Amino acid sequence: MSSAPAAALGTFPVSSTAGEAAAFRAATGVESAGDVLPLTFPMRWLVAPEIRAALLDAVADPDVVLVHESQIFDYSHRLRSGESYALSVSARRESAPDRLLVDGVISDASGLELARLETILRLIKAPV
Amino acid sequence: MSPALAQGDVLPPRLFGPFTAEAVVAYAQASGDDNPLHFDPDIAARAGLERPPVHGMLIMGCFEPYIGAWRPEAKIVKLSAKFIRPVLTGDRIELSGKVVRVAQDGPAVLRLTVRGENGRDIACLAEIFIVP
Repeated sequence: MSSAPAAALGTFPVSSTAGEAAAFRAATGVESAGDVLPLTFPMRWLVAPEIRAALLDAVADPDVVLVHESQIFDYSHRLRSGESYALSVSARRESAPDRLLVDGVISDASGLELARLETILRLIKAPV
Repeated sequence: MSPALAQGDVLPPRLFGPFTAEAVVAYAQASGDDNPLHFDPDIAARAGLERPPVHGMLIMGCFEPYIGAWRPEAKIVKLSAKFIRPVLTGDRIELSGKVVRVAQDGPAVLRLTVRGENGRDIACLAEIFIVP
C-alpha cells in the first residue's frame, strides 16, 4: 500500500433547512427530536456539488466506479437544522488497493469542533 | 428507564427493508447522493453486481432507529461502519448487536452486524459508541 499526502480541498459553508432534515428522516426512518439532525445527515453535505467536484478532481479518473468502503461519524455535539456550520475537507489517495480517504471536520461559527467524519471510497476501474 | 448496561447484553435482531427502488430513489433525493451506481443496472453490472446496490449510507441510517428502539435514552456519540458486501435493491437486512464494552469513564461500545435476510451473508460490521 502506498499513500499520497492528504490535500486540503477547502472549507465549505454547510447548513440544512427543516424540510431537508424532515425528508432525510423520512428516507431513513430516524425519529430525532425537533431540529436535531440525523447522525448520518452530514453525508448530504459531502455530496454537495462543489465538494463532490473537489473529490472527483482528487480521484482524477473518470473511468472508475466509486464504492463506499467504510464510514465514521464522531460527534462531540449534535448538529441542528437551521444552523450554519463550516465543513473542512481533506483527501488522500492510496494505491494497492486504490482508494480515496476523505476526512471532514464540522465546526460552528466560533471555530468549535462539533463532529468529524471519515469516508473511504474504493476506486474500481470498470470496463466500459 | 432501561436497566444498567452490561457487557454481553444482546440487542434484539430487527429486520429493515425491503429497500425497494422507490426507497433508494427517496434516499438519493433526501441525501443528494445520486451516484448512478445505485440506479443504473448497466453500471452495477460493470461493478459485478446483478442489481444496483443500496447506498451504504441508507444501511448505516438504520443504526440510529435500531439503537433508539432498543434504548431510547442512549446518546450515540460515534458510528463506525465497514461495508463488507453490497445490499442490493429489493433486499432486506437483519441488524443484530451486542454490548462489547462498558466503561465507567467513557462511552459503551456496541458491535452491530448487518446480514442479508438469509441470515448468512454479512453485509456490514459496525461499532457504535453510546453514552447509556
